[in-house]
Amino acid sequence: MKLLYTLFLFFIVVVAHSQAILEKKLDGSEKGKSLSSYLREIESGSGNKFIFLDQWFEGIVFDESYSGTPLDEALKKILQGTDITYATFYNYAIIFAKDPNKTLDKLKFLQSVKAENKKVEIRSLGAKGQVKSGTLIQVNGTVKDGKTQEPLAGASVYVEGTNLSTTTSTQGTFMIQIPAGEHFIVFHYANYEDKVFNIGVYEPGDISTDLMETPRVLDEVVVTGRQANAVTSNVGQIDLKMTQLKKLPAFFGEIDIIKQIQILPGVTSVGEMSSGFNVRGGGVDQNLVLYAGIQIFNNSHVFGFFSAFNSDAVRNVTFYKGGIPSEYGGRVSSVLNITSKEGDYKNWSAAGGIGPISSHISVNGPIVKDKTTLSASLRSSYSDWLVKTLTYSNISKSSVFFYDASLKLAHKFSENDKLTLTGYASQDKFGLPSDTTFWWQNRIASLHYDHRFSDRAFSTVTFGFGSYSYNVKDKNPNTAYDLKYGLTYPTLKMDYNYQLNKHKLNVGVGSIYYGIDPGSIKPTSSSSNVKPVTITKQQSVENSVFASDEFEISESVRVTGGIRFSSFTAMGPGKVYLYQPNQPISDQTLTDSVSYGSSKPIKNYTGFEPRLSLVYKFNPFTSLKFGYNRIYQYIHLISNSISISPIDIWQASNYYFKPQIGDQYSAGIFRNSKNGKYDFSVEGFYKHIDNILDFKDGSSIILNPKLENALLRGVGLSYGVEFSVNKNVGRLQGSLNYTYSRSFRKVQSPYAGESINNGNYYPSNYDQPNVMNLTWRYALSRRFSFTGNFTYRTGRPITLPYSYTVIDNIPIVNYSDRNAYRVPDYHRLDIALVIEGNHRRKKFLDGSWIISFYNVYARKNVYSVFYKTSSAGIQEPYRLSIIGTVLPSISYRFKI
Amino acid sequence: MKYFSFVLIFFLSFSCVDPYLLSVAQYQPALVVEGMITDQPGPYVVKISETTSINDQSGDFVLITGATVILKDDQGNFETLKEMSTGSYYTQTFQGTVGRTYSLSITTADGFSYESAPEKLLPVGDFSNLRYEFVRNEDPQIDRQISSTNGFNIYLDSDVLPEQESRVLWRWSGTYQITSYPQFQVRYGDGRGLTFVPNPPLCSGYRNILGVLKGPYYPCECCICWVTQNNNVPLLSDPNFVSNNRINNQWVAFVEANVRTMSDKYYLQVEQLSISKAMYDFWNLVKQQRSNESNLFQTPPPKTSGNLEPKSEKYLPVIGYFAACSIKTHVIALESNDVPYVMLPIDSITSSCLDVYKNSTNIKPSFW
Repeated sequence: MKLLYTLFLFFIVVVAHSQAILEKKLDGSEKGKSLSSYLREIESGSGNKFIFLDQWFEGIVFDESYSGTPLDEALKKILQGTDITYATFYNYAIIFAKDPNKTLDKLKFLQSVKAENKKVEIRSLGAKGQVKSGTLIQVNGTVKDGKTQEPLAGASVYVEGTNLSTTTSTQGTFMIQIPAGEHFIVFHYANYEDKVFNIGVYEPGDISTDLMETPRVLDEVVVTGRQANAVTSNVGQIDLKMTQLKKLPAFFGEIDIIKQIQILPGVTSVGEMSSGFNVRGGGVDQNLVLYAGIQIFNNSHVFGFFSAFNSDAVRNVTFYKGGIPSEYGGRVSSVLNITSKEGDYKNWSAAGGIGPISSHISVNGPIVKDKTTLSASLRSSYSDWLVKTLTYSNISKSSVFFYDASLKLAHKFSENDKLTLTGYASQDKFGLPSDTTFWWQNRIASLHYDHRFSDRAFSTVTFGFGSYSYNVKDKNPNTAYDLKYGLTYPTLKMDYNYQLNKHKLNVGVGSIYYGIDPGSIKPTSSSSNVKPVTITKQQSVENSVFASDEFEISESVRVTGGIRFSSFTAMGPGKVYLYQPNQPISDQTLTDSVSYGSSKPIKNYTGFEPRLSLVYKFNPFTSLKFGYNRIYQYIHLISNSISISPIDIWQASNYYFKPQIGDQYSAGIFRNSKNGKYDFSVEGFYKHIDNILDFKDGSSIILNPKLENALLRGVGLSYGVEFSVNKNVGRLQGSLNYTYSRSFRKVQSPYAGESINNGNYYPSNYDQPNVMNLTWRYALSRRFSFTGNFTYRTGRPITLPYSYTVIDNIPIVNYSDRNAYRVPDYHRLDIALVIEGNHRRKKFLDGSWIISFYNVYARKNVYSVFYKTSSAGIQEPYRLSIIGTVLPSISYRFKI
Repeated sequence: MKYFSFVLIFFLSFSCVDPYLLSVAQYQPALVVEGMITDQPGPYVVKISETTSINDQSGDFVLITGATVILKDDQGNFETLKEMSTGSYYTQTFQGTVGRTYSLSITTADGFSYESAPEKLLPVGDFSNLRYEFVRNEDPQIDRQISSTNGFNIYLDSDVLPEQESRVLWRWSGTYQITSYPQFQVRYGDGRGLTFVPNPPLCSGYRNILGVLKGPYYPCECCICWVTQNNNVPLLSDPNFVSNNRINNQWVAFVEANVRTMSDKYYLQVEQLSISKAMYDFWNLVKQQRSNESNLFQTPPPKTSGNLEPKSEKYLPVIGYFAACSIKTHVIALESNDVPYVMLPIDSITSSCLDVYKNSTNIKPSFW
């Protein structure tokens, strides 16, 4: 014991020794002296030893006084620009070295890695001396989850001490060019343990690796929208990790992907009743939501209270709000690509959650070990009580039910061939007290085949089938009817990826067939006074060819250029109504109609869509990004309400409705602090959309065979700037973002009644200039954390009836200009306490409780203003707040 | 697994609906013009008023006095209308003629000026076969017959002239007689407990003399009244239903059959009007506004304006119209025995019949 004590004391003394001399402040006497003579001077009697060769310091003189500066700092300054570095060894020696390969830096890095208990693997590609030092050598590989063997997309791979870095593709593959020599390569993926390779690179080769998920979940990052690779990713691209979402306050304990998207900078929503989201001033129909590569048309349950995706069944989510890659098209504002979870290839496991409204369970595991896996999930509501508590009488007497289920089967034929079958279904039922029941459902099935030709080349083929439909049934004998709407969309997409030195190439083709059954209504009782109406089915095909090249021009510049060529054909059978030329389109100007036979093209549109994305890295911490995209959208949401409601109509482009054409320019600056604690970004955008559709005053859209009568064509314009700051490590983590943006529309026509607001620009339904979101997570202890978020946004525009009169005994309400007023500003605070189970890696049940309070200070945020006709026949405005109080809830989640 | 059954919820009320109150700053009045020249003998009236804030449901409107209102035709004739009562401006000599085009200009005392689009007085076809059909939606309630969902649907067959271009407007006014017993009106007594004392209005002819009902001293002036009802939604032709210049089986009204409307008879006067496209569009928007039921998925409300345009630099927004119409009129009387069951007149109104309904008069109409 005594010996130990002595050793400890000695250690402290010596440490103090060498630290002391480097921290010693200079007194000004060094001015004019050469570095070597000064070091010799202070060395004597200090107990320290400076080791260097005199010729290295030739010509290095203290040209100015460093009085008051510690020696360490003065040395760094004076040695700046030379290849001389120094390090402390054996606690008393300060060794200088001429070190063009930065060996000492690497040594320091190794020490730090070991201190953090990170794993370092030693590997080598080829033998030393095979190539001249400095020759660029290509290294590639795949990064996978060590447990499930699923590839990890978006993991960052970087070479320590250089600007060289890359991120893995959707297939988990990467390719990087490294100068020959000894390096440390670091693999990083949020919520996974970093892995470090100490590698000698002398010939091209494969360095695939597995990463293990971090068992200590408390150290996870809050949804920041970005990870460490924010600096290197393309402009407008955001990857969300599901594990990050699970710690946030959730509405009734339901983790909601769409609600998390809504708090990202540049994204807004119009209220609680809207699972749809608005990206950079775009409409809810302008977002391409893909699940297993197939579009999802209705992404919400219960009119938007919950999103239709069970978070346990989702592996990751990639969101593009600008600089959209050429492989995606068809929607002008954003892409939300949801990848479902693949089963574990080694072991079976299960997870689930119990909340006040609904519960969910998922299981996954190998059917044949290392070959075939299954992942299945189910979520279902179990009572009507959600709506029973609504005080708005029309809703509170209603009934509600929903479920969603997903299934994924994956089979590996070989290391290079994998076939995946994904199925997804969601169903909603909503019954009104007046015997009216709404049903709506989404179904998709997709078959996905991945083939790897070589380390450089892979291709994927997706064939899928999707359908979205709704029906409304009324059982009141006098009005009994059955209203139906349906949309089916078989989809095919093939792409081929090839990596060639500094180029990543992606080429492919896609095709979607839209079969739209725009609706039928038929009476369902003999006494029903409903007249049967059936509108002819419509069919159309959207084809596309795309190619892109991601080119690493240099260590600091990466350009991704792409083109997409799309074509759209509306086909018969169909009837096109003709109207008098140079007259407004209306029933009164109808002249004739033309019928088209089956499969005869009615109208064809083609679009050329250039895409460009540029990243310029000033240094490993700072980058400047730019993006441009043009996108054609051939299918439009014709909604008679503000958010997506189940009885909306999706209308394909046809003789009258031209495709929407969106052009977006975006640019931004991204910066990480050097210690990785913070990152900052500022991003601006300008977006112009042609051929948007808006309502003619008082038009009706349901079962309207002449929709061209009901809609007006205009342009959309939006612009804005987004600020965001994230703190990524520590007990307190969080993000703060603020967006200023505007979104306008303009509908101008030479004919009376065909312009909106006299043909001037007017705010769109979702023009919310100021939006702020604050999200935080504070770790109270290893198991308890306090999380929360605060949202503020300007009230959205509305059209108000503000006065009335009576003319010829008929009450008439005088409305304001379209969207001339706003509802009061929206703000809300949610908090949650998350209590997690113990953090042992091996345990049977890993459970956590989430106690959350939604809308803590019970603000009655106004969702909309609607009108009721008073007894005097006057429409009176009422404001509707969907959530008028604080909503506490407790839910339990578990993993086995 | 003990957790599984342990789900706690604290739940209060949920969503809420409140009246939406406009702030004073948000309210902006508009000028309202209602004027029409017809092929019928004059004088014709132009009424000018202001809209009322939506939060004031009293139905009282500010009338605009002191305006200069000039009616012109395409022959160069013009006439300045005379304000006979506040906000109502009457012609003196003008006579509407089919085929002529008329326009109206208004300058208010504030100096705001407005002008209507030229309106051509189009001819109108006649209509025939004005008829009723009784609809029985519920079994008659013996004890409570002052309101009912049963009643008469009124139909007609209409001729549409080519000049009308399928546009027709109908309007109707219905009159019925009510009987009340105002002498039995009471008020709370001054003493303790719930005691009532007679409180007959003067018009009843009775008096309360020392707590005792005495009379009648005069004939009752408010025991029999005639109530007028009008269509409160615009009735417009649907161009899809015009075939061979005829509209058959056009529904125009529903007359509720209850113990009051059918106490004696119901006199219904129906007018058919020719209207310009601007008028048709105006009323069509009003119609859509009215049919836009109170629901969460309601469409953006239609904005109505009419055929008047501001002409001065400063102006209030204007809604309403100046129309030129030809009119055909027919009447139908519904008798109480047209109701296929007996209605027991157990309803007794114990106040002045003038106060029970808004459009109520004690002056017997000429046609009654």
